[in-house]
Amino acid sequence: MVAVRVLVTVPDTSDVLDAARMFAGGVASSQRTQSFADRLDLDLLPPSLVIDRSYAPTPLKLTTATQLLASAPQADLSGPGSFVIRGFMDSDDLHAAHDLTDSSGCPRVFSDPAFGLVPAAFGEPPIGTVLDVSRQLGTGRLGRLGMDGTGVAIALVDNGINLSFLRSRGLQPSLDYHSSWSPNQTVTPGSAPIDHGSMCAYDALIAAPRATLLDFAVARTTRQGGSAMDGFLSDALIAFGRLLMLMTLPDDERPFRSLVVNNSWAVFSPAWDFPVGRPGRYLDNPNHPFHAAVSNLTGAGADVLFAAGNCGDAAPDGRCGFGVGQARITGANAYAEVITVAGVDVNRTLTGYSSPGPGTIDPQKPDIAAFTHFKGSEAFGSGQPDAGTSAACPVMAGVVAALRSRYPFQNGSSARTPSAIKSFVLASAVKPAGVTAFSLEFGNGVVDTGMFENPGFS
Amino acid sequence: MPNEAGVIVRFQRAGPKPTLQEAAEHLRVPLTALSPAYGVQVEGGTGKYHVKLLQEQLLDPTRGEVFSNPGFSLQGPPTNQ
Repeated sequence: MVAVRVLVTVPDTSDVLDAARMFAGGVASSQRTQSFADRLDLDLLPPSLVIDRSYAPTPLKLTTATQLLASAPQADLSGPGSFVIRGFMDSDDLHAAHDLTDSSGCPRVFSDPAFGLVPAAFGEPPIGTVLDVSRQLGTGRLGRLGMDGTGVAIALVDNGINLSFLRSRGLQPSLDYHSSWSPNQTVTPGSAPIDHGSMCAYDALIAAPRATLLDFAVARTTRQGGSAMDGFLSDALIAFGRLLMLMTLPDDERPFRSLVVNNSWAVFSPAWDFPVGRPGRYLDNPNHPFHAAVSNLTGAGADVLFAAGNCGDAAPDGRCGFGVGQARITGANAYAEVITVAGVDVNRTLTGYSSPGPGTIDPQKPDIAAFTHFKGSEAFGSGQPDAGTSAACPVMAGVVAALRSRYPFQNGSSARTPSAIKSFVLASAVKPAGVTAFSLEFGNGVVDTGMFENPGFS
Repeated sequence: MPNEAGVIVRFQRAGPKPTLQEAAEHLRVPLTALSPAYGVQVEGGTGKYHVKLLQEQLLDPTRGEVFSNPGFSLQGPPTNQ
């Protein structure tokens, strides 16, 4: 014998209507639950049903719903199937119960199956819009605090930005043409085909609309959405070298006060690296020259962010080549100096594709979760979400840029080092429901700007 | 056979930043085996430099440290796959 949960339809008798009105009217729960079952006519119910007294009789018809708040409610207006209640019954009785019908011949007992939140996956429609993201980030409040990206450059190490597209989406982007760079001389900064880089730029500008974009179009992809392999690390190495040169310019020669570097890319397969055991590997080797490049750039005052990657347990990208038990946040995405960003939807539910930690180099990865899978740029077509940890990363980069517009990097200020800023944004994060400590899915929690007004430093 | 990815070779050298020609001489590889687009990258004030070598087998490993140059992928929606 197993107790199963069922839903049962009942007519709008005066007893049912009274019970429903007690819920709707806010009667104290103890009084309500005591009275609820007593008020129902048990003859209407399957013999072994135990009523769930915490579940309000719920109207199924408009005429019934209006009676709940009427000053002089009328019973028996709508007849069978007016309300649904919930209860438990023996599985042995279920078969007979399913044969129960009301006076109109309709079944009265229905299953009440459990459901789980389905994590966002590629190919699924957007969850929420850019307005939801904006609200969650408190961008209006940030703007009033002077945190809008002014004086901050956001370098997008990606496959190029299309400024006309961003303008067509209602933005007023500013691009530093001369500080931008691409290994492909035929691509003019700001004029790339509309693709991944434009999505990232759009998302970075949500929290930092007045930031200046730097277009570092290092990915060589020519296919919308990217191909299996979009570029080589050596191109990113040159980009980081150029960014370091910009950061080491004297303050009065540097065209920005602070620099935030967004990297919505990762290595999808260990097969692309040297074999295990060989020195010179990238994925798990802190001695790789790219680590020095990243470390030098953060040491010079730039905030560097990397996407966690799209090899999550529930809905990994089909290009993921990591085996069971292999760490999936690897290489630069796992460096301690960077902010590694996981992806949640606007309901703060982890997306199915967001790579969990640990990291291969710093095991405490990812660092924080930010919003993705929302209707935003529509760079991939009308109604298509800004998706992947690729979108979460620039959303977070925009938040860091917003903070930096009020607290730019300052040589000699220990409170304004990239390390200190990282610590602050991680401490500001909010743990999602049911999570109380660092987790390998959300890191330190979901981005939150509630503490930005009084960050505790100047 | 040269391959597009090649490998990254780190070496240490006193004095000012070497030219690509000087890097090739230091590593004892033909200039044509080094990527001119990559050039010579400076590793932040340590006297260390790196170049991209297109034919790893040409290098005497005692002349420089060899590192992988993996491909990477953008982490957005995998459309048109």
